[in-house]
Amino acid sequence: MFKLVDWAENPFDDRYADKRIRNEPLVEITQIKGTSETHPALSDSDEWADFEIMPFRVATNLPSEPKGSYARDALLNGLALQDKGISNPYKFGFIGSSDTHTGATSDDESNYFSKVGLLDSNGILRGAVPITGEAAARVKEAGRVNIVEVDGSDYVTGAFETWGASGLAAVWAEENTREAIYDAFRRKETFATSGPRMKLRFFAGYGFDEAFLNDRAMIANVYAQGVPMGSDLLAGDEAPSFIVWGIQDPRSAKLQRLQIVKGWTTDGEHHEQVYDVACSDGGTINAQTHRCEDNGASVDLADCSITANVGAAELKTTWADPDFDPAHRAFYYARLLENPTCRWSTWDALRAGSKPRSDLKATIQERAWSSPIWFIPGSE
Amino acid sequence: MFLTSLKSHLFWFLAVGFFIFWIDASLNGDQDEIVVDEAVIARIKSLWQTQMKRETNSDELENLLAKWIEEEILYREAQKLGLANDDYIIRRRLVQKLNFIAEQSASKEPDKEVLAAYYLDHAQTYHVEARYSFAQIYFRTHQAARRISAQLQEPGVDTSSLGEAGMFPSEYSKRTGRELAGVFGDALASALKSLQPGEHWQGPLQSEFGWHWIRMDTYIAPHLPALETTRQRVLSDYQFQWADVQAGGLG
Repeated sequence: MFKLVDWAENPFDDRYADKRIRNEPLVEITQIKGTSETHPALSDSDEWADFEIMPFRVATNLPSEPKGSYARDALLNGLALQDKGISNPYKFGFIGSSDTHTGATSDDESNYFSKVGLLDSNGILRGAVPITGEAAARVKEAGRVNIVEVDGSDYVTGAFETWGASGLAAVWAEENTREAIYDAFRRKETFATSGPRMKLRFFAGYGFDEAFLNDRAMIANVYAQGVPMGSDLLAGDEAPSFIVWGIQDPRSAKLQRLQIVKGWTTDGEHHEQVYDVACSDGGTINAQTHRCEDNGASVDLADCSITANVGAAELKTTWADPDFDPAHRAFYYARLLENPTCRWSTWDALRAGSKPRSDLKATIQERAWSSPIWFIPGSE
Repeated sequence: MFLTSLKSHLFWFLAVGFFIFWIDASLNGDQDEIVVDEAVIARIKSLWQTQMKRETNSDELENLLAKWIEEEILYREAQKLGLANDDYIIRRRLVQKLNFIAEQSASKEPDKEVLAAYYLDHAQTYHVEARYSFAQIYFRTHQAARRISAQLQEPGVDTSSLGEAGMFPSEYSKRTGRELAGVFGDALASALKSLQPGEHWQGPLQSEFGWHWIRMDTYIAPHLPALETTRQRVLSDYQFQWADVQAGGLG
């Protein structure tokens, strides 16, 4: 997906890189066949990296290779290429999409019908509910579908149970016209969500403070004095400041935390850090771990109900990078996390009266990702 | 010799046989002859025009004709071999073609009374949800929202500098309750139902995000629109359903 050589195995040059980013300004970071932000093997310090990962290559049972398959890694490789004096082919923004083949979007955990129609149209076929009796015997005999035993029950297994109820593409456009929306795609002023219709804003500039943040005219001012998601921020005389702002989908769960993911390279070496920047319920951020206090939100797996009166409708803050180094190329993107809710496979099991499979995640944290902002050091 | 021949069965057999062959040949011409006439050329040109949105040039036409001739040869050979017999795809295609013809014959306009009766029978489908057009001023806390209540009583008050910045536009036009529930939550969406249209500010009403003063500019009640305003949609639904019935009868 995000290779570092062209079709003939030649390493990238400026010509290829420029052409690639001109033609592919956006990446689908999430869809029903899994989420491609990052992989736990690539981002071992990101506790949210293991999210709706499909571990197979498309339409096979072959394991997929994390390197070269995930967006954050590609963003870092783009910076590493720049360290070598080559254009950045991976300076892309994020969108999500459904990728269902049924003509309908299946991005709601509690109302999930998967992707391909007959093959995965119910909980048994997509491996969330045990297959029993005659059906199990028939499937085993036919040998066309793999069966796995989990917790003493037989389940259909393959890729279906690793798929997710995701995702959406969102744009910040001046008006609801095709031209304005495509312009927003082109300038990467986009964000992706794993299904819910949360809204996410992300800006960078210099000297943003509380008063600036809370001004009635903040949006007009920040476009005049800063840059939105998808843009370059050129080096200034001081360290940059960021504005990040998310609101919940009123039909989905409350928000738990707002994060900024930073990636940077030093002579080609990858570095990344996830910072919590705003916490729900008045939680404070630990300055060493950069993590919010636990807000105590949980899910009752007996009926998928969630903790009441925990979480925020809105999270909004200014932020400065505590580890900022003006010499390093870096990217920053925002990630907005909901409180945990039941995964679709848990809803399937609950409705069928069976137990959720212990080898699948029972709950997930729905999220949104903004397109990155790239910091461009002064010498460039 | 000639007379003897006339009496020979073999002679008459050959003579009659030749005569039948001659009639057949002159009526049917050469079976293996492919004629590219004006009608064929016109059909090929028009198909190209539909697909490519322009005329063919002479090279393209030559290629298309060569392809057509090759296809015609293969088609005739396939027919001779009886490949169309007992073929499920060809069978389905013929049924489909007949259905298309049936549907086309259904696309004639029904009588006025017939369409009106159909419209009333399916009123539920064409029922229009309530729609709200309003302006809103947003505050995060009830206390902050209450602070401007006196100011909002003044006639012609300029509200452009009132309220806090939220991720919502200050005006909404012709939105349904369902859409608004997706933006503000169910509580505010259902509270809107009780507001009276007018120039006065009402509220503050609570949403998932805080408190909102609302000026309900217009409210369109749920209703069944006059048939004239939605005629095109009703007509195509009627024709679609009619065609479906016809196709069902045939298929």
